[in-house]
Amino acid sequence: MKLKIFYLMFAALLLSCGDAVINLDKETYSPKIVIDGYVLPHHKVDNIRISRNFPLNEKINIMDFPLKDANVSITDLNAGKNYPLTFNFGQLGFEYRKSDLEIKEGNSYRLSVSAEIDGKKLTASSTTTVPLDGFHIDRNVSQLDPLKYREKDENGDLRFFTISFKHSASTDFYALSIVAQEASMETFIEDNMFGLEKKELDEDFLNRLKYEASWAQTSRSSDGITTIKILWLDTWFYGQYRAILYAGDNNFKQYFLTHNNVQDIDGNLYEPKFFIDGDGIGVFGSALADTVHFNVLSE
Amino acid sequence: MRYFLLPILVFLFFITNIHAATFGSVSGFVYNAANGEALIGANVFMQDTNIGSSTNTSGFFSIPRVPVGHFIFVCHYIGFKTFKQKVEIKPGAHIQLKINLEEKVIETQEVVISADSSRTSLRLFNKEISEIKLNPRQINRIPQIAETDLLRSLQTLPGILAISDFSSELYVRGGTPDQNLYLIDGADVYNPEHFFGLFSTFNTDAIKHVEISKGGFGAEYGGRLSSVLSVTNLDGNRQEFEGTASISLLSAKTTLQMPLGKIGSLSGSIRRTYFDKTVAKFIDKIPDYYFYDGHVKAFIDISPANKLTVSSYAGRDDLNFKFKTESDEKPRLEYNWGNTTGSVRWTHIFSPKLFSNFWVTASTFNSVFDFEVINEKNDISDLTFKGNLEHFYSNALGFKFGYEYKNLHGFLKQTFPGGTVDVEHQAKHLALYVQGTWRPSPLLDIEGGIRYNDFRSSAHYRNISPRLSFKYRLTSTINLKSAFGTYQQYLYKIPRTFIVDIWTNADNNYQGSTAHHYILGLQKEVAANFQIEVEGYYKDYQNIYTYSYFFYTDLHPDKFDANGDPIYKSSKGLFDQGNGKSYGLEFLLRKDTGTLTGWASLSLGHTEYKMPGINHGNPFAPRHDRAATVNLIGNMDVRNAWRRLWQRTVHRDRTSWRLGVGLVYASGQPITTTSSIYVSAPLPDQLYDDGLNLYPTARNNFRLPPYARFDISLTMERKYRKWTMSPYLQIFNAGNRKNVWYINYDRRIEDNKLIQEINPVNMLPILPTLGINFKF
Repeated sequence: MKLKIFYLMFAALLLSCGDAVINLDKETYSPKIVIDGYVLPHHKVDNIRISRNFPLNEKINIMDFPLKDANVSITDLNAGKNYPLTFNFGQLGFEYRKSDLEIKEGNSYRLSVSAEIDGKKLTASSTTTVPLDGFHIDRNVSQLDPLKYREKDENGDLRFFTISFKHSASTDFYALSIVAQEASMETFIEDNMFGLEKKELDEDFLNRLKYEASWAQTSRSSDGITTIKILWLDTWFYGQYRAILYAGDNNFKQYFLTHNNVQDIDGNLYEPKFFIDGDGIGVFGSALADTVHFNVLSE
Repeated sequence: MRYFLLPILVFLFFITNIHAATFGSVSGFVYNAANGEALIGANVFMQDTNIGSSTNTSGFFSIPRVPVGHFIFVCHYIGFKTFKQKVEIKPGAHIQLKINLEEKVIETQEVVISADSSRTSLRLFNKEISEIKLNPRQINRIPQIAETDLLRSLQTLPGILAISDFSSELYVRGGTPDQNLYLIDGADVYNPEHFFGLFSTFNTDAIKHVEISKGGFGAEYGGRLSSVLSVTNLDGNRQEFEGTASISLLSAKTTLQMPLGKIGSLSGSIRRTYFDKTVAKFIDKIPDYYFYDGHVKAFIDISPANKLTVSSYAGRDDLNFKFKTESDEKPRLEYNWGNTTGSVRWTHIFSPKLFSNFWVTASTFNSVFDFEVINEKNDISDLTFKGNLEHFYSNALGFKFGYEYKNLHGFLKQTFPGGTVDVEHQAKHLALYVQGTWRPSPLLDIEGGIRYNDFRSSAHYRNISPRLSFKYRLTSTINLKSAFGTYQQYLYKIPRTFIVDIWTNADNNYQGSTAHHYILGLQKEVAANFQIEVEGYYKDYQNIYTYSYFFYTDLHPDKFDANGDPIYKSSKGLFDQGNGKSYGLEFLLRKDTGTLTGWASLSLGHTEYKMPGINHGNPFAPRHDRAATVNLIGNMDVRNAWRRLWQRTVHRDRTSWRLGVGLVYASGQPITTTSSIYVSAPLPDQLYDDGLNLYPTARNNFRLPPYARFDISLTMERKYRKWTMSPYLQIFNAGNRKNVWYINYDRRIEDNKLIQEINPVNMLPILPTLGINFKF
């Protein structure tokens, strides 16, 4: 009896020791065409990146991602005309080099891709409808005068940079891209809100802080203008910032809001919202864009 | 409602008086002689006959038809001395008994006689299918994290699973935590968790009785698809002042009980963690955090036929974090949440055959979050009126019927840059039920019931839920049981890991959920107080909901405020809707008395959902699905076990040592992993190589490695004249196994090469705890 109890306890202890081993097999991997491209009215079609996915646990040369030999074309669905795209080795993206393709507000465009990956012939396509005109940043109403970091007004309330913009008639999605153009260790705001210290930064982390992207919630006002604040949470450096506000289509919206948020706090993963038919993932979207600049002053 | 109740009352009045002249009757209450607490589930019977009953949740029993003559009346309750009394039954006479049972002096001594054996199988027979009862002693002896926890104790039972070490929530037979009805003294508890889910709100020192039904429950319960957990707090010692106090590395707590003259008793408890007063004072980046909870309960014995119980519970968690402590201007995160419940119960005995309980209960859960420009207030509350009447028509026939009227109110208010969520929901839920129990022979019990639900919110739902169960004694030691039931649910929880959950209800966007339970079970008494139970179940779910992870992408404002900012007022889009099923087989070997007590269990099961919005409409296993789980819980009175080993007489010592062990081994949970990595830019103007993205596989198609944990506790109990001291050591995850919680994927570019790594994130490591309990 004594021995039985001892063996039982010993077995239980053995069973509950050590590390659990994870082996992710490659059986779940399936090759996909990755589309990453946007069309903007009155801009030429370029930088349409067509690449592939890679299974985990492989060291991959970054130059192996682009599918340079892919067949890529864009169709103006309103005109019913197809335009083949060619690969630009400088940009690592596809483009249309002639001037007869014009991207217009309200028109729909389909991107079609066919490529061979790991010996498999794959195809993918996606359609975007460019938002309607009317969208622009109202520079007269926006507050873009230089401010000190977390500057306060005479009432002791925080002051903010603000961007006021007129809506597009066909979309309720607006994304703000902020880039600290003078980001460096020297311009890093040490007295930042979260107590993040310079010694915690490396080049990769610094680059992450340089780029900020956020979903700009729209409001409804009588003049059709929304004003958004640029939160101090989004500024980590002193100096000049470039802010581009996009009025995006639904493909842009769904991908932007989901692709970088795929892991829940309990670790589970969720597939982003792709609007791509066939063997593709990623985004083919369209947007109207407007750009402003502002400056965060040091003390 | 009166049209519903009136015919039943008339019927009962009529049938109550038919046989009065040829038989007598016996009814009464069974109490613990030491403290006057009513004993729930005590067996009472006339010796050498098949006539008997068992006490209900108020300790009341009734045997309505006893033949005229002389009998020995017997009352038995595990851990207590058997009570016997000669009674003479006269025609038409009623005998009212007040039975005070004395605890066995040597608790560990097993008296093996044939009568005990039959009582074990009888006790099993009387128990409802899929029901497990635990007393505080059993709960307190299970080794745990830091301190005893009710919900974590229940996670060691077959068919009840945990999602991770960080959560005390219960996943019962494939159901989700919001499908469990938690009741504390009859009042609903909505989010029974402290410390971001690590601990539950129930202070085990204050608990008198715990009952969990894992399925197939009768018509008196409803509103949830999976299970019912009913916690009864201590009424209070009616004989003398009594108290317990405990100090551990996490918290201090005390429970006090005292008589209220001769008319009743009072009990109260309070618990508070002091992490904020110790560790957080010395480490800057740890937030100030604490929780407290407490209860007060008064029991008043107004008259033999009228008893009143007033109970209240309150608990609160408080988190306060300053991002940079040297300046007051820096951002501060404040978050607090908690439950408050109250209940008044009037117990009235209309006649020896008609027993009743009437409740008025109120429950509220709320949370407040405040961080810079993001604020949230979340609240759910209810006011409930309910009544349950039990009619003991004859020894073979009994009825239960009652009503429950719940007035629900909840809201969620969030403000964030550029918008507001302002969702308010109000609902009224009326339930009426009737249930009959027919025992055509001592070997067979048939129970049939029906529950009618009327739920009104922005939509109106009406459902009828039939329930049916039977129990059959195959042999003197084997019972066969089966149950079927339809269950409705109108409340849903939006789970948020490490943040409190939000409740919402069925409305014009989401209709009520339905489940059907089919259960078949076998119970075998192996030896005295040694039992095996095997149960198989199948459940199907219709219109179940899971939180839609990307719900925010399709939200549309319902209106705009004066500044033109959007206000979201609808629950539309919050959930993915679908159907599902769970099935499984459970084995439980249990021993409740002796020098070695505990249980061993094996649960086999599978749960599958099919939802059009998830996994491209293909079936998938939810995250809490586990194919197999083994639990071993053992508790040993070390000195008496040693004596027994050497065949010496066991006896109670002034100083005793108890060794507790717990082992859980579970097959891996499903999780969605990534099959590959791809590159895309977050925005058209931002960097190409900044966006290394994970492409997930099909939903939950990978199984994490098996989970294993071995816990151990050692308690020394030293008795003094009027008090007892019990220092203890508990070691959670004694083997320090690195159980995987989830997988993190690191990816970076080095020398123009993409490097990818799989990093498992582990659950809790080895956690030793010291503490001391006092009883006085």
